[in-house]
Amino acid sequence: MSQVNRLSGGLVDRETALDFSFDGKRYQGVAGDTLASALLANGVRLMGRSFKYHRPRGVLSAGSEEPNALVELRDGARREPNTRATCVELYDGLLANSQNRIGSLRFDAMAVNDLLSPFLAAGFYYKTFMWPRAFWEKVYEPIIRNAAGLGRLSKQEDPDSYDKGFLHCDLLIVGAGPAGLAAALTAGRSGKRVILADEDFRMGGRLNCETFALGDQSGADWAAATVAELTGMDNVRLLPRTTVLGAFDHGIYAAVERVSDHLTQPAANRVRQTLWRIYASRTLLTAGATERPVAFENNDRPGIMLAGAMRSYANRWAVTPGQKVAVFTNNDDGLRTAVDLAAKGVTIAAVIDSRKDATPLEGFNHLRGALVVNSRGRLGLREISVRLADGSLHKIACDALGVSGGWNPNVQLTCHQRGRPVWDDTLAAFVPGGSLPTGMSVAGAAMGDMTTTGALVSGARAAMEALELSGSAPDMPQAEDAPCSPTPLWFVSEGKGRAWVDLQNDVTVKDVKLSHQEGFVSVEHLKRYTTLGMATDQGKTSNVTALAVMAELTGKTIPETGTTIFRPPYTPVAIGAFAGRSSGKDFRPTRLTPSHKWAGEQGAEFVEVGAWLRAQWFPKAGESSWRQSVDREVLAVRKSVGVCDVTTLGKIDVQGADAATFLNRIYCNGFAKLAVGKVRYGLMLREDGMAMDDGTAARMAEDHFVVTTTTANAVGISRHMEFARQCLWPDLDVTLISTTEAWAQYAVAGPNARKLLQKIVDPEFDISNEAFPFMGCGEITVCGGLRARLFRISFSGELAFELAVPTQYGDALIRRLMAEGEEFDVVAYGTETLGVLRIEKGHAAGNELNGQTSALNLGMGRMVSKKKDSIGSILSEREGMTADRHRFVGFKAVNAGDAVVAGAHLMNKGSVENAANDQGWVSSAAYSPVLGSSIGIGFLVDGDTRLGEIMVAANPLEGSSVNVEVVSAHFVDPDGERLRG
Amino acid sequence: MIINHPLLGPRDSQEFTYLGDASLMHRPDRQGENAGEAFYEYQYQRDNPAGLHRELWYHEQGDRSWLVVTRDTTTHEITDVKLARDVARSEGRST
Amino acid sequence: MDNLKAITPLGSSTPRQDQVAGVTLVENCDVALASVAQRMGATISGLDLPAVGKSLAGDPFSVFWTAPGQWMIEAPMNSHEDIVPALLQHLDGAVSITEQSGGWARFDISGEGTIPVLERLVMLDLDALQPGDTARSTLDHIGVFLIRRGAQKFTLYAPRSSAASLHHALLQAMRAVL
Repeated sequence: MSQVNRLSGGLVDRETALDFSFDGKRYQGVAGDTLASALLANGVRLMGRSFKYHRPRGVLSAGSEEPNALVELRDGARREPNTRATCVELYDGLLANSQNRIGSLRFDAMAVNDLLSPFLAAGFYYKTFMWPRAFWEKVYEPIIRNAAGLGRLSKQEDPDSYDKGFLHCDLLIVGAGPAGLAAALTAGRSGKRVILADEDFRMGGRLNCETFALGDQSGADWAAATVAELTGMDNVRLLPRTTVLGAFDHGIYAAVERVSDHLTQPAANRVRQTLWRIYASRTLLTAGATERPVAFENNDRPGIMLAGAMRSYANRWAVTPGQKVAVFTNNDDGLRTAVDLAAKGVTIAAVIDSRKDATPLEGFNHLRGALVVNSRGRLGLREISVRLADGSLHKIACDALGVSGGWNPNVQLTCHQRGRPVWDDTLAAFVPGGSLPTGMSVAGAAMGDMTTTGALVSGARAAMEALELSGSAPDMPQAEDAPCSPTPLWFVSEGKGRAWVDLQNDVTVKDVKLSHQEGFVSVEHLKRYTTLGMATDQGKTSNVTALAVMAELTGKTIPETGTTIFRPPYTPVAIGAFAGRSSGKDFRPTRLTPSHKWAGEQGAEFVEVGAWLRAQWFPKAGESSWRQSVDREVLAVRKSVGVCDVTTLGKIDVQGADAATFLNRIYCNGFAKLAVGKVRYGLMLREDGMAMDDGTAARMAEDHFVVTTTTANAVGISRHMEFARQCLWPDLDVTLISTTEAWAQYAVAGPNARKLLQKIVDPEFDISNEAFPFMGCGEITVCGGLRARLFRISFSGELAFELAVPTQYGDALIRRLMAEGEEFDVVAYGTETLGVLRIEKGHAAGNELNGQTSALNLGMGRMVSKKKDSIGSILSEREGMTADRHRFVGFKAVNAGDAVVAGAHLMNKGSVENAANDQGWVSSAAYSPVLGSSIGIGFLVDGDTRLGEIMVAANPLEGSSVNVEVVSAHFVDPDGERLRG
Repeated sequence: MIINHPLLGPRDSQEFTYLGDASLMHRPDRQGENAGEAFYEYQYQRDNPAGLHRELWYHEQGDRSWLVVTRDTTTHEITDVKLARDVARSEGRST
Repeated sequence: MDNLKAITPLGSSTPRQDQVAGVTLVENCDVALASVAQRMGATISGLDLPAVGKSLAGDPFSVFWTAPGQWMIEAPMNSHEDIVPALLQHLDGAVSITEQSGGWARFDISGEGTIPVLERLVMLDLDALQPGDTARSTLDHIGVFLIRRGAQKFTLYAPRSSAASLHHALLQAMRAVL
């Protein structure tokens, strides 16, 4: 079809023809078209099927308030459902399809729903589909699910990227119509930092859609000239194609910029959209107003649209919506649609004006005191029925009807921080209320200032006030100033059929009446019962009409009926924009250990430990299962020597004259008297007496300790210690700083650990057992003078040390250790082996320190010193804490082949497996290659007196139960002889 | 939200972590009378006002200062921000 | 015994450089770092210490403010690698010193377009950060120190373990914006 409805003029570039397809058919449009304007230009009126009744629908509006013309844009992985055709900037090769139909748009099989409409009124699903009960899950729900929704997701991974960004400004202006442009000009010329955002690709708002003159220029020319001047200002940032979607606390706004949606696809490395977080000292909302229709029977046919939208299509896009156009209005604004279209040579069939006393419009068939009461033309408007003032009924042939019920200021952003709008009787509309978000003011039509002069002047003045500029606002060009006073008409009561209020969710005047009849009278109930205003258009063309209907039914005024709250986002936002770059592997930053590169070369398997990647085990050739690797590593460590990267454990440097005093209060056990050159195991309690974290503190000097924490709690313990330092004891002489990252640290463990280290540690440092006993520490040098720290501590239960060097040398150190260790058959071991070794030794770790266990439970009750104050000590003595009889013990599988499972609960043999009989739980478990059996550790009621008992480790969730023997948790070297040699 | 750090000026609250009521800085004296009761009250009992709330925030991604922030819990308006160390000292905490 | 050799935070023997349009991103491994903190009731002397949010260039020691009573010292790595003893000699008064060189990855970013790149990643008001100013915040969820060295020149210090993630985020932003 050629562009049968194309008119002359407009703001489009006829020289640039663009090919596009809709529902498989090829069309042409021009640069500057939207998909909606291009379809209308080609005579296409049928653009969609409604949500519930599958009624044929055409485009209602020319903007983001569009409820009907929702299409699936693009195909393949980039297919985007529910895209408003009015907001799609046409590009060459654009592909779009209508949605929500079975079959074609013309022959939708689901249109049968329209025939079933008496059964599908509001809330029908609360009253039907109840019997038989079994049918709900298997029959009704699947059918309803299939029928529900509008567009379809591609279900493929989004191939596009999205950015986030952060902008700061003195004044954020939301909306670049006449008010916003006047404000931007005023603010920009003052030198302040300004951001001007508009959802459209061409700034100017209504100036691009009306035929008003501004001074001696057209509105569109003035807008373009203003944009050009603003573009030249360094202090002004223009953000077209950008929707400010929400007003958040303290002047923070979110805006989504559609960077590449108007291109076939984003250019290489470019994002599709950017989500901006804007920090605005002040904000001016100049978002304009949205027109509202009038409801009447069958008011939803393709070809029936908002009268203002018709002017937009005619004046901006040079498109007539039809060949024979009628207008239905309750205000002067609607009359201009007839005038503007007639000026372009379009035949105006009639102007139906509900106002009996309106000034007659010369040269037009102006029917005053008349109402449109019905329409015909299922796939496209053919005829309207009009009730004249004298009561007679006339049919008027037309293929397009422009409807104007007045304009609603776009107040949404003023309400995002709990504000409610207030009713203005003159405008018969809601305007911003008194409580606005911090720093926000409103001007132009958004404030209820509906004329062009009003917009220009109020925009400029508002900018002056917002920025506290002295002097007077810049002069604005002369423009029209005609007041807009609609005579309220919300719906035409004549007619037995359905009159639509919410076009997208298919909610009719009858539904509002039904809601009232059923007792859902409050506006909050009305919304949820009928689903009015809950679709993707959030009721932009329906909310106020619905309130008016309910108000009439209840005998209240509209302000008495109230409104529901508006929440972000103003229009739908792709989830990808909220994710930004945080997707896939980049979901969050990754922390790599100093030995990461080396471990990768060894083919290590890695595991995520918080943000860290740690080597989990190091498979060797011929090993097909992780158990083989881990068993081998465990045996090798206990037989000779192994090396493990333990850099990830938190390290906190504590210095000051009161360092020891401070640590003495942080740990439940004593540190005041720890000698220089010694390390001690420490347990930290939470203030409520529960175990919080464990680690070691090494005294490097009188006033200098190095504290370690578990990997998982490194950040939290730092925070906790800073709280104690700054808030609890602000005058203690103690400083803290994290050194987790600054030192690479390796555990060297096994009977040959010392021998290996003696090849690394410089000869002037004696690390014999006599010179460097168990739990000693010191500053040394290695490999010919490199500064290092050595700690003789053992997590594995073997003779062990931890060696730390500045991180940049960590890679070289592991390579040197492994090379020098070859003569001892040194193994590298990962976190799995680390875990097996410490379970065999009976050391508590994260699973045991889960915040639900006390020192008593852990068998460390005596560590909690009663002689000094420490965090948690008082509340650890509470009766409820001391009465808890769970004690830390070990478990060994009775049958060699059985696996003890962490998380299993302990039951007496023969008792019913339920919570009442719960005796405790297994917190950690592993296969011990040393014992040749699966073992576990955990907490058992009176466990310390039940050694030897056989219990059931119950795992009902996975359907297994295993007999276990209660044993000491210290499976290997219980007397600690290996540690001290 | 934006927290106006007394030294650094306005910063996004995302740089901070929140602990709770500022009364948490008044850890009871272990030697005091009814220490057990006092610690119990300190740990578990506190007001939950709809209105002005004095609370502790930690500038973890900034200068690692603890701050006492006065915020209206119904509007999020922040009317006062002080360094917690200064507040602690002025309210009698020392060593 | 052979001395051990350091590798860069990005895991190489040589520092990395990237260029996209007019912006250069350079990994800088030539700086030794130490944190100094004032002890209770004492003042640190021997070095000029900058005020809140400021930095001071010096030879061999440059300083930037990190927290109340706490500063980070920069010195050339090739002459001051063992920075703690060097500072102990230089400073008077009760002071806590920790070596920090291994803990940080440094990237210097400069050139036409640096600001739009940083706008994608940093929530600070960059206009308010003047040359010589320093701030600590996050860059794409990674804690960073920013020091503005010039109109379009910044130093970034991030935890060493996150160097690869930081570099990736910066390079990605450069490619998306420039």
